[in-house]
Amino acid sequence: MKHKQFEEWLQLSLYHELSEQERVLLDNHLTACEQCRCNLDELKKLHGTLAHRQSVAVQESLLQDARRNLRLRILAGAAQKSLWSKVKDVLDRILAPPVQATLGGVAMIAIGILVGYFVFKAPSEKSLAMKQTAAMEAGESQITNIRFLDRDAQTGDVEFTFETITPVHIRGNVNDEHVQKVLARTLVSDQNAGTRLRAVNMIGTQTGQKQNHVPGFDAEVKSALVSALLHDRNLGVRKEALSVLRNYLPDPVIVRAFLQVLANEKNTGLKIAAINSLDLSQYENQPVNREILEMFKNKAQSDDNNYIRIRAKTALQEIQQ
Amino acid sequence: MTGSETELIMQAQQGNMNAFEQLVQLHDKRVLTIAAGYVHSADDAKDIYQEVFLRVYKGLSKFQYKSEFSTWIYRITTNVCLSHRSRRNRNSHTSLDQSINDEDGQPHALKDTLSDTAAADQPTYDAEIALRVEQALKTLSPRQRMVFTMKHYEGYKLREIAEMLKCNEGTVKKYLFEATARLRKKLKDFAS
Repeated sequence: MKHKQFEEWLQLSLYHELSEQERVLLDNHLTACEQCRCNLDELKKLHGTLAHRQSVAVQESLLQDARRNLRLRILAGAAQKSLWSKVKDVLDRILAPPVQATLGGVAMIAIGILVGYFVFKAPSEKSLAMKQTAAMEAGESQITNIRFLDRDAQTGDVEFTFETITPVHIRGNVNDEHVQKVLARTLVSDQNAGTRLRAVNMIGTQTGQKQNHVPGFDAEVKSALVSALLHDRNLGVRKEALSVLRNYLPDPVIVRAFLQVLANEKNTGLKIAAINSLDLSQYENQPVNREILEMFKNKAQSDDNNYIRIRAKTALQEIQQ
Repeated sequence: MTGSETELIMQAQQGNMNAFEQLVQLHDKRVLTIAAGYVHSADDAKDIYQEVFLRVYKGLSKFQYKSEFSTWIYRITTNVCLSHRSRRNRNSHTSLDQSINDEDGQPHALKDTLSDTAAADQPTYDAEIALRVEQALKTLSPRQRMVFTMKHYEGYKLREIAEMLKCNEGTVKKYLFEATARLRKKLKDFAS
């Protein structure tokens, strides 16, 4: 066997990536080869040096932060989805590829005409940015995060970006779709726990009114409530989210969220509330039935908390009766 | 792929945001760990996390179960890592042989300065070695660094790395050996 092969095996042996047979061959070689023994010593020293690199700890807070940002970006992306992309989604679903190609050609001609129109058209309207500065001048908006990009001293041209904050006053009904969306976004994005709690309470007002006639839950509102239940740092917000979501059982998504609470939540009270909410009689012949049963059995046998074990056991006995 | 994961994928493909979030939570810690190991920065790791799961979100409707869902996500993760550009410009390397001036203006090689400092201030010396290791790792090609950090620091098996990078085990070994050789050369002053 070539010496180079053994040199490679030396590295792999330190990572336990050699088969038993290869390891024996390498051991035999090492007893006879001074060069490879030195090589192995140097590799071990290198590993010692490399151990000085501290790993970046993936703490729960980092993970939660990343999840929150992702949620916001997806929500923001959905909100900004243009009319054209929505139309395109529909067309993608209904049109066959050859038709798409034909329409693509027609669209390209139309775009060409439009580009020509805008290139040769005299600028007569204020740009959107200028309109926004007009709103700012009127005292409606504040500016923030201004960044100067370019300046031409000779011509006086300047280029910069900024963000505007415009106060919005809404007076409406909590059942209104737009009001709900604002509340849902507040719930997932506001830094203030008190504000988030008030947002859940307001959404709860809606569900409270409709307990006897539960309508289809707006997907964004449901998503925000489930996220709050599973990830909000504030226990009060999580508890309130659970009590609102309870009204929408046996929605399978919410059932799974409650199961996640049972699996991951640290607070005993919230876990008990989740157990109490999961009434198995509602899920006969549904896949979630088995998942709930398994979770209850698991909790009855191995939860760290004595009270949870007893409550899960009682719930199981109630089911079997 | 478990039954419930498949169910979640199908629900997420139909636009169910909660199902998508549950899918994310099944895999995101590992994604963040791989990213953090590769870029060695919490901020950059979070950027990679966002990019990975936005790609997953956008591409989910086209996922056709040709591979394990987890494999698909980790492949995206390694691809995003490999093309990632750090937020901060941290490429201003200082060569160990580069001369620095002491308080009297006398030039010394940096490695000599580090050796002198070592006896007096061990924690500082350790931090300096950590810095040198980080800098040495940054001299590797993206693929060498990816393979090396996943093998050496994250402890993945060669077979798993090959699957994530969509190449064969022999190629992974090649990157690992090249990376080790380069690191030995860069860090020889500290390994002795």
